[in-house]
Order: sequence, then C-alpha cells, then structure tokens
Amino acid sequence: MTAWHHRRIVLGALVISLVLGANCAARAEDTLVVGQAGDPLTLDPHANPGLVEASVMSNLFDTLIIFDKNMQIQSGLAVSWENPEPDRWIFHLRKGVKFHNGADLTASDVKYSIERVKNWKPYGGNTGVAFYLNGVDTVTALDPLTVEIRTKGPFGPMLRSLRAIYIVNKEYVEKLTAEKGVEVVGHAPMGTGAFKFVEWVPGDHVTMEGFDGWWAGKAGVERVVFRQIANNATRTAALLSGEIQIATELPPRDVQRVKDSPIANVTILEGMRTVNFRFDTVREKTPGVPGMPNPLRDLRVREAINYAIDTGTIIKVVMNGFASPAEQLAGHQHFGWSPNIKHLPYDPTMAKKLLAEAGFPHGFPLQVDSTNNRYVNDEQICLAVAQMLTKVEIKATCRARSKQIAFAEFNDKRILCCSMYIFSFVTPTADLAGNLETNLHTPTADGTYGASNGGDPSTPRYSNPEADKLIEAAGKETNEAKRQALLQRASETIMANYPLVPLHYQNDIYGILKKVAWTPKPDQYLTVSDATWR
Amino acid sequence: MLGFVLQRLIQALLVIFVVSIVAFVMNRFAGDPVFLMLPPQATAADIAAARHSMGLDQPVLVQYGLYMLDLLRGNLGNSWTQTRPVLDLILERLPATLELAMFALILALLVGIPAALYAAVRPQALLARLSMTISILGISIPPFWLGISFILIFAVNLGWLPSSGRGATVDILGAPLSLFTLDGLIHLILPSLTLSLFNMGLILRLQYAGMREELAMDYVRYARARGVPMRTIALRHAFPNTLMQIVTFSSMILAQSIAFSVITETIFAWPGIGKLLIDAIGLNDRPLVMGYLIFVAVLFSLLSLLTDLVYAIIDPRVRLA
Repeated sequence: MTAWHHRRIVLGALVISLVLGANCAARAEDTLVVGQAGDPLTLDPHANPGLVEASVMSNLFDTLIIFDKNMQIQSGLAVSWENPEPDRWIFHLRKGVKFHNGADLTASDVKYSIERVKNWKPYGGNTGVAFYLNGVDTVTALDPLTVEIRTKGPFGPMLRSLRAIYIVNKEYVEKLTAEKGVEVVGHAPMGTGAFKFVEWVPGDHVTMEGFDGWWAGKAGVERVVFRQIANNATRTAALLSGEIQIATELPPRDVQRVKDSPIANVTILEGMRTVNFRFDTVREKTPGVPGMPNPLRDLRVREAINYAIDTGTIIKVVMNGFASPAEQLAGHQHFGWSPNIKHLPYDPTMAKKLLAEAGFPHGFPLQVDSTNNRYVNDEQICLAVAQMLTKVEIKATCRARSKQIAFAEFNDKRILCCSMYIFSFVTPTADLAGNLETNLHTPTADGTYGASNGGDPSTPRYSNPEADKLIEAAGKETNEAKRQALLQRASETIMANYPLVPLHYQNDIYGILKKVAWTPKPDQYLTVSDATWR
Repeated sequence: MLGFVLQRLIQALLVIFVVSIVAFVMNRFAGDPVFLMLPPQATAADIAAARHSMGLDQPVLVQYGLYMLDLLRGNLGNSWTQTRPVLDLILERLPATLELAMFALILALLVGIPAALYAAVRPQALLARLSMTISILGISIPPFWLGISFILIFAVNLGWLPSSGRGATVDILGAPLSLFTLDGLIHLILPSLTLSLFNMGLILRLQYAGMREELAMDYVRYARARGVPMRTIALRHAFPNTLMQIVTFSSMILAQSIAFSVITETIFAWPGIGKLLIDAIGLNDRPLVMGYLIFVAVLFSLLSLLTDLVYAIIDPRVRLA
C-alpha cells in the first residue's frame, strides 16, 4: 500500500466520522431545543422588561399569580389572597416551595423582590417592570408565609401586576450583588421555577435543566436549550432538520413548507398585539397636515378615515392572512376588552360623504408615519393605508423609518411629530388599564397619566374627560368584575371617538416538531414546563 | 525597527481618532436612544433622569471629550442595554469570530494557492481552466444566498451537517474554542465554507496573476534553458517571490472576515462579534457601537503593522525605517 492510499483511507475515515458525528449531535433525545429570533440581554428578572427576557426567565422563576393559556388568573407562589380593605392585600404563600439552591421560599423573599423592582433605577429612572407597581406603598412580611401589601389608595391592577414580578431569593441575590456586583446577578439566575439555570453563552444559547424540587411537580422534559437563531430562513431550516423542536416567529412564506414536512406542524395563535394608527386629535396645528388647521380634530374626519381603510385587504394581501381583524385597543385576551365594539365596515362612499360634511370634499394632504423594522410588514401596511386614503381624496403619503428614529420622534415632546402614526400595544399583565392610563388618558403634569408623550400636558394626542373619569375609577376599583365593567365602558367611550384606526391582531406562528406536545400561549412567553415528548 | 513600530503606532492612534469622530457623529443621527431604553410609560422625569445618567444632557463636545478621556484610560464604557463593560462583551464574542475567520482563511489558502500554482504552470489544462471558471462563480455568488443554499442542501435535505450555531467548546489558554472538538468542527464546516468561497476565488485569481507574471521573468527562462524542471522552478523560485502578495491579501482578508463577517454570522447564528454589532445597532446601544468600531480600527492597524513586520522577515531587502 502506498502512502497515497493511506492518505485516502484516513480521509475517508475522517469524512465518515464527521458524518456520524453530525448525526449524533442532532440526536440528543432528552433535550428540548427552542429556536427564537432574539437573545436575552440579561437574566436578572428585575433589570429588563423585554419580552425575550421575561419569556426565557418564566422557566427559571415563578410569580405570585400566574396566567393560564387564556390569560386568566391562577394561583402561583401564592395559594390564596384577600383584599380586606381597598388599600390592603394579604397573600398566603404556598407551603414547601424550594429555591434551586435548596432554600425555602419565605415572605421576606417576596418583600425583597417587590422592593427590588421598585427601587431599580439603572438610568436614574424607573424600568418597565417598576411601572406595574406604581400604586404599591409598603410590603410587609407578616409571618414566613404571609405577605401584606399596602397600596397608595385603592389600586385596581394590583393582582394582575404581580404577574410581571418574578420572585428571587433575598439572601442569594444580596450576597451575589455584594461580592461580585449586580451585573453578575443577571448571569447567574436562581429561582423557584421548573428549570434550573445551567449556562448562558450570550448570542448563542441559554441551557436549563429540570428542577426535581419544583412545587408544581416536574417538567415534562429533562433539559431545555433556548437558541438564538436570528435569521428566519435558518430557523426554519433548523426545525426541518430536526435540530430544534420549537421555532418561534415562523415567517409566513415558510408555513406551507413546514406543514408539508413529515416531522413538523404549524401552530397559529391569535396574538395579543394590536397594530393601529393613532391620530393627533388635540393640537390645533399638526405637522403631517401642513398649511391648515388640524382636520383630525374633527370626529367626522376620523370616522371617515376608519371607513376608508380596508383592513380585510391589508390582512389578506399584506399580512398573507396571518392576522385577525381588530376592532379596539387590545385583543380579547386583555382584561377590559369589550364585546360591544364593532369594526366599521370598509365603505369609501360613506368616507367621502363624511369628509364632505366636515368641509373637506377634496380631502387634504396627510403624512402617515410608520416604522419599517418593528412590526410584521409595518412599512407595507403604511403604504397600503396611504393608498387607500388616496382613494377618498386624502392626499396621503407614507413615511416609514427605522424604529430607532421613529419611536424617538413619536415620543419626543420637543419634536411634536406625527399626525397619524403606527401604534401597537401589548402588556405581560394582559390588563387594558395600563394602555388606557398611559396612552389615552389626558396627560397630567406629574406623569401619572398620559406619559407616552413624555408626560407633557401641552402635547396630548387624545383627551376625553368622560373617558378620563372611567379610567381613573377603574384604577381605584379593586373588585375585578366592577373594574372590568369600568374598563370596558372606558374602551367603548374612547372607540366611539375614533382616536385611532384599529387594523389587526398579529398572529403568532410557531413551528413545532410532531414528537413534541406543547401549546403556546397568546402572550408569546416560551414557558415550556408543560412540554412533553410524544 | 523600534522607530518604525513607534511611527506606525502613532499612525494607528490617528486612525482611531478619526474613526472615533466619524462614529460619534454617525451615532448622533441614529435617533434618540433614551426612548428605546425606557418603556412607553416613562414620565418626563424618568426621561430626564435617564438622559442625565447617560450623559446625554451634556453639550456634544463635552460628551465626546468625556468619551475620549475614558478611551485614553483604556475604558470603552458600559453597554447601555447589557450594563456590562463593552470590552468584556467584545472579548467574550471574539474567540468565535477569530476562529471562524482563521479557519475560513486557511481553507481559502489551502485550496486557492495550489489551484493557482497548477493553473499558472499549465494554463491550458482542462482542470486549470475549470478552476479558473469556478473561481469566477465563487466571487460572484453572494454569501447570504450561498449560506442558505448550503443549509438547505447539507442540513435539511441530506441531514449531514448541523444547520447553524456553534458546537461544543473547550477552553484553550482561557479562550473557549470549538475548533478542537468534533462537534465544534462539524458546526464550523458550513459557515467557514460560506465565508471562504469568495476569498478562495479571489486568492486563486490574484495568485494566478502573480505567478504568471513571475513565470514570464527572465530568470525563469534561463532556468528552463538550463534544464531545470518546471515543477522546481515554480515551487522553489517563482512561488517564494509571490509570498509578499500572499501575506498582503491574507492579512486584508483576515481583517475583513473578522470585522465584517456579519452576514455569515447572522445566517448561521454564529455567536461572534458581527452579531453583537448588529444587535447593538438595532437597540441603539451607542457605547457598544462606538466601542466596536474603535476595536476594529485597532485591529486593522495592528494587522497591517504585523504584515509589514512579516515583509521584513520574508524579504531581506525590505528595510523597516
């Protein structure tokens, strides 16, 4: 045998071993791999309010109350609660709950977690999570398993707000912060959740392992890995090749391919995120309509625009059918959604008639503002809307810019941007109250209401004293049924005024391998403690 | 020699200074970062506090001055979104990118150089013509298309290789490298092939041209006249004379691959610094974007200095002064 032959054999062996190795790597039966577009920025549950972070951490940490798949309140770390006086809540903690390090869950951990969120000010200001606790005054540990929360006056959203607060171990976090600094806490999460943290390689993956001592039993899978695969096509490919078992945000063009595949299924869920266009309904002059008084202050004009936009076509053509028509501020999973609000039909003749009545038989120029990298097909939606408005003689143009620039302008009171602009809302507490308070209540100087304009009362986008009263009453109502009725009435009052054009609820599309049994939730949290192998 | 190095270092400082100005100005056009950092519920007071803590309430020149002062102390600042030092974030991701870029370069050289030598010596041979034609293909196929096609063929249809991600790593001198595990190597194949195919074609064509030029020299003709076999002339005499250009384009390709492997890293979900940059731009994380660009400027300067030093080793006629 010559040297050349030797080399050939070695090469052949190398190729075979590589191929075999590849198959071994793809076949790790007990590990559930989830491929998602984003990667967490931190795993400190109180530092960052983003969906990706909260979603991954929902496997490591628990909350006092939890939501079921219909976003209804269930008991979590708290078995029961009472509200003896309007501004006083008592929570009874579950017995025998263990942290991953073996410590028992006590009332002082709950107190510490809530206070940590309230005092967390990385940029000198509050973070998103802290806003859910605006109404909380003091937290007291009455005994090891009883927590008392006193609020600044009656605080309606109290219960639902607790869904956003993950409970950490006081001793562990304090010690880690003192010894290694607060950033390290975000890289060594330790909670009471279904999974224990194993490792996090930023930009690549987070690995977790089933926690034997979980209070709700044991997770259906031994190990779970959350991989970031930002590119849509790659994520689909990874699913079809069986490397990942769950793929989030499946692109519409891949849905049929995944459906046709022998190993995978597609799950489509009506999501909680609405896509709307908001109007500047208050200011006398508005930047998007140059050279004339703001026509959008006229209710008839806003109603006309609602008639002029054909949401059905947008859903069919722009969204490829992967959206559901919206008729109000937020999806039906939200607390406060009203069944009485109906979407206006597409009726350009009616729109023209209303415009003529309002004194604009030949329309007016209007700049429609949008992002081009935030929501699914946002720029195309904006272009379609502008085109539809042109049909009723409103000379609309679309200005779509990156979210980095557009959001800054939407919110910056110094710029006074935008007459009609894209607007979307979703909240982990599934509570309409927050949306109404920050976006549709007349802004107040202290920032309690209407803060989405930077809290400046001189530049409101919408103001309706009647709705304001209902929103405020709901904020002080701790009876859930009464609060729901108030929020619904507020919603109805507001929508009758057309401060926005509701377009659609985005659908959430998941690709899931057939060998995995798992139902996603409308809030897009990737909580996989209930996932099992088939 | 020492003078030369010093002179080049001063040049590098100048480059970094210019890059810092350009990056700073560009960042200012990328929108107000405060509104991306804070939730929509933020009040005017929260926004003001955030602006203050990020130093955005200072005049632009003061902001720039403070940044440069920190930079002089070797401090690239903290990332706004990840609240960790920028340098840590870059260094944490660097091994993945370095290993991918190096592996891709070696692959490109191992294929490109021998093919070019063969084609230069036997330009009429079928294999030579074939490889020259394929090289044009390599240069003209966009890497994102190539990457996706590789994934579809080798991961989805054939199921031979993993579609994306980085394999298991082992710590070598403190850096986690996947090059030395079988799982890691398998994961490295597709992304490095994607990254190297363009360079393979480029190297082949550059080296072919260089060799053809060298083989047309008088000394080659004399050597042939004396009966020295073509193989010996090409490998012993002509090839060493082209080493300078190999070093030149290798260093350029390496720098390019490290700094701008963004596309390959995104397609293959490779956790390198390219992806870090894209995410940072998306979140308007100014310190991270600034730090990255300055880091790349330093890297380019060091690589070109290294290239010049290697010149002197290869060619004794080169004097560093």
